[in-house]
Order: sequence, then structure tokens, then C-alpha cells
Amino acid sequence: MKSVKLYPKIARDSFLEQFKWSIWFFSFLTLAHVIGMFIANRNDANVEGFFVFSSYSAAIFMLVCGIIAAFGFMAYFVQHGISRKDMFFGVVIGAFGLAIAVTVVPLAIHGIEHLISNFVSMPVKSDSLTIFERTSGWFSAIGVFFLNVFTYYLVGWLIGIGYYRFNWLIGLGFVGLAIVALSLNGFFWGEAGLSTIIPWIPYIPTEASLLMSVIGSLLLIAVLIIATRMLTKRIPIKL
Amino acid sequence: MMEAHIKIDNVTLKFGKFEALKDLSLSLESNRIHGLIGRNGAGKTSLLSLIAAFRETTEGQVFIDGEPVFENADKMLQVSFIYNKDYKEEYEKIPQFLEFPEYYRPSYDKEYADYLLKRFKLPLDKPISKLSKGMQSALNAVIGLASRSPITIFDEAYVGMDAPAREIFYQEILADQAKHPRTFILSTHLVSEMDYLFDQVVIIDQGRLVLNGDYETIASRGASITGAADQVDAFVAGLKVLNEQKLGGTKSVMVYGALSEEDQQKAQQLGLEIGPVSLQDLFIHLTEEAH
Repeated sequence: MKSVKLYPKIARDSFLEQFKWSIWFFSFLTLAHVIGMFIANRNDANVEGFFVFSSYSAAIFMLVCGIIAAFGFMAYFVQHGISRKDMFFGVVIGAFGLAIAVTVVPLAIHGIEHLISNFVSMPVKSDSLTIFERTSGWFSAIGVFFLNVFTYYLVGWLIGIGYYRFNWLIGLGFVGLAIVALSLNGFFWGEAGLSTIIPWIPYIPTEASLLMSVIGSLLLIAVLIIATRMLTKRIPIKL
Repeated sequence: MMEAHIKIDNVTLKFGKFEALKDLSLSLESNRIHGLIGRNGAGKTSLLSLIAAFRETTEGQVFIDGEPVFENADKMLQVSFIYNKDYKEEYEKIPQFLEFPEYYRPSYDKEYADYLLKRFKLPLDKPISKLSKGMQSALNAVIGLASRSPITIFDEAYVGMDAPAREIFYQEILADQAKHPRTFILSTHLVSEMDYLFDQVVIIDQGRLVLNGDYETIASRGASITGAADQVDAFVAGLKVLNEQKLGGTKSVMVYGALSEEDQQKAQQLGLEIGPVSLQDLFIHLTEEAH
């Protein structure tokens, strides 16, 4: 038998499966956004543009996908005779693709919203609609969104594996780790949260140092990927 | 079809302090049907999950065609480990569910799978979670058979199937083995029902190997000696006695170990009756003594 590399197949499969979920997710989110606009319209208020509007919930969606990946995909692939290594790289690549999709889809919806707003007046904050017009801002906004959702997926995966592999108590420890990781992520992107809790951590506004934020974020992603690989390298599969 | 030979080399498997397998060594010939027999908790599933690389040995090594199987992408793909999966959250229907093995298993035969689905009369339009336990088991049987993996393991895969479904399952194992030989491992409690399937028999107990050999040889090593109590006692002195039953002056003793030509003649002279012992009885009594 020829040896075949299976991880591209797995990447494709895990991406497609989760992309299907994301279509459901964005359908509901779009609906929520439209409802939000109606409510805002009545109260003379404004809602965020779709891209900004979806950033938090998209991250949570990715977190959940990551958790499901640990319980759903991992064992399933190995049970069908796929090595943990192929499974791991397949799922990571699939998640990378998913993170791109989850960034591009709200961007596209945002673009459509932007087009419509040229003809119809909508209760959407004008500055959040202009990301397509500001040459400096839009690229970094998309990059930040992508890194953020990818990080959330990896964190979810790590939590899932913690629970899958160990008991609930250690699993809870993984949730703690996840909070640390996400706080770090927030810190890199200029959320003041961490610096108000831990006084010796300086507050770095994103605008001040985009490069540092990107490096920090990439480092965090690398650490998460390595940790997940170490935990799954020899993981026993439950029956 | 390629051959796949399994070698288990001084394998110990520990869960914390508990030793599920204790320094077990075993060789399973390729392209034969192996019956794996053991009592509850004997270590059958532990052994099988090592062969399928679901987990790693604590000590020792499992080889497939000379290569360690754990995290060996080529070898792992050759093993199908079918067990009683929990399908209560499987909302897909059978055709969608079977796309996965079809896509990943190199020797998967879709036509054969469709034929088996019909034979087991499995409904294709219902979510798998809604099927009865027996139907879910039949679905497992379909996946295991149609994948045609060089090593196919059925770990008590018949659970919940009714007698006709089990019969179909057994028939299909034999029929497909004739056309597409592979290494089957069938772990079971239903020894008397399945023993005719086995080419080889492996009995394990409390994590240790009790015996491994071909079915004919093992079956011929057991004998029941029936006759007058004192004569039976005299005859079986020095033989390994597995079980005794006494009714009035008549005694029936089950012995283990090949009887020589001489022994058999002697028995005839004494008017003792020598009968066969079923694999089931051998299993019961060989694993009983340790307890």
C-alpha cells in the first residue's frame, strides 16, 4: 500500500463541516443585526456595522467550534484509522481556513450593508461602515479580526482536549489557562482589562504598536498550537 | 488484498495502578479468523484498543507486519476496530454517515455496503440515533465488513442484534472471508454460537494469555470421560481435570490435554465413554480455575 498523506483530506473535511455550521451562525447573526437595526431605528439610536457587530460573537462561535473539535473530530478520525499527527495538522489547517472564512463572511455582509447604505439611510454608526474607505484602517481591522477568531478556536480546542483527556478538575484548570490566554490576547490588542487587574502589566494601546500586537498574538497562537500538539500526540482515544 | 500479521510483544497496559494486561505475548496469523475469548474484565477490549492504536502500551510493543502500530499512519489505516459505539447523538442518516468510511478507507466497497444494508434491512431515512440498538450494531457490522480493512476487529459487535441478524452477520463474515481474506479478530461472550467461525482461538484471563492455537487442536484437547465413578477416577489420575459431575455411581469428568492412543484404548477396555468438550465448556473451566 502506498503511503498517502491524509491531512489535506482531513483539513478539507473538518473545514467544510464547520463552515456549514458557520453559515447557520451567520444567518442568525444577520437576522439579529437586522432586528437590532429596527429597534435602533425606533429609538433614534445607532448599531455597529456588521463587521464590528459580529466580532465578539464570531470569536465565541470559534471557541465553541474548537471545543467540539476536541470531542467530535479528534476521536472520530483516529477511530477511522487516522494517525493523531494527520488528525492534528488536518484540524489546524481546517481551523485556519475556517478563521479566514469567518473573517471574510462578515466582511462581505458588511460590504453589502455599506452598499445598501448608499441608497437607504440605515441606523448604523457611520465610522464603523467606513472601514472600506479608510486605507490605513481596514487592513489591520481584518488582520486583527482573523487573528482573534483563530486564537479563540485554538483556545476552545485546548479546553476541549483538557476535558477529554483528564478529569473535570484538571479540565477546569484548562479553563483557567484559557482565560489567561484570552486575557493575553486581549492585552495584545489593547484591551485595558489585564493592566487594571495586574498593575505591573503596562497598557499598550493597539494604535501605538501594531507590530508588537501582531508579534504577541502570533506567539500566543504558536504556543497554543504547540501545546495542543503535545497534548494530543499520544492521547488515548476513548471507546 | 494484503496480508497483515499481528505480533504482541511482552505487552503490559496499566491504568494507574491497575494492570489490564500483564506481560502478554501473542502472535496472530494473517488472513485467519481469530476468536478472542475472555471473561468480563479479562482485558479483551484493552488488547484490541492497543492493536487499533487507540492507546499506547505501558510496556512492550504491538507490531503489524513488523512495524509498531502506534501513530504509524499506514498501519493504522489497515485496522478497523468496530465496537459498540454510542450513537445517541448521531443525527445523521446512514447514507451520509457511510460517506466517511467510504472516503477514508482505501478498500471500502460501496456496493457491498449497500448489499449489506439491504440484508440487515436497515432504514436509510432515519437518524442513526433513532435506530434500535440491534440496528446500530448491524450498521457497525456493515462498516466493518464493507471497509475490508486487512485487520478487522469486531469487539462484541453483535450486542443487541436479534438471532436472525446475528446469523446474517456470521454468514457474511464467512462469505466475505472466502472472497476477500483478511485478519479478523472477533471478541465474544457467545462462544457456543460463534465457535464455528474461528480458525484460531485466543483465550485471555485477568490480563494474561491462557491459550492461543488453532480451533481444531484446542477443541481436540478437551475430553469428557464418563463411566463408573471409581474407574473414571483411576483413569483421570494424572490428567488435568477441569470439571467433575457425579450422578449416582456414574461420574463424568472433563479433562484438558491430548489423550494418547494408549489412553483411548485403555478407556475402551474399561468401558469408559470419551466425548468431546465444547469450546464454551473449555473456556468456562479454563478461566474458572484462576478465580
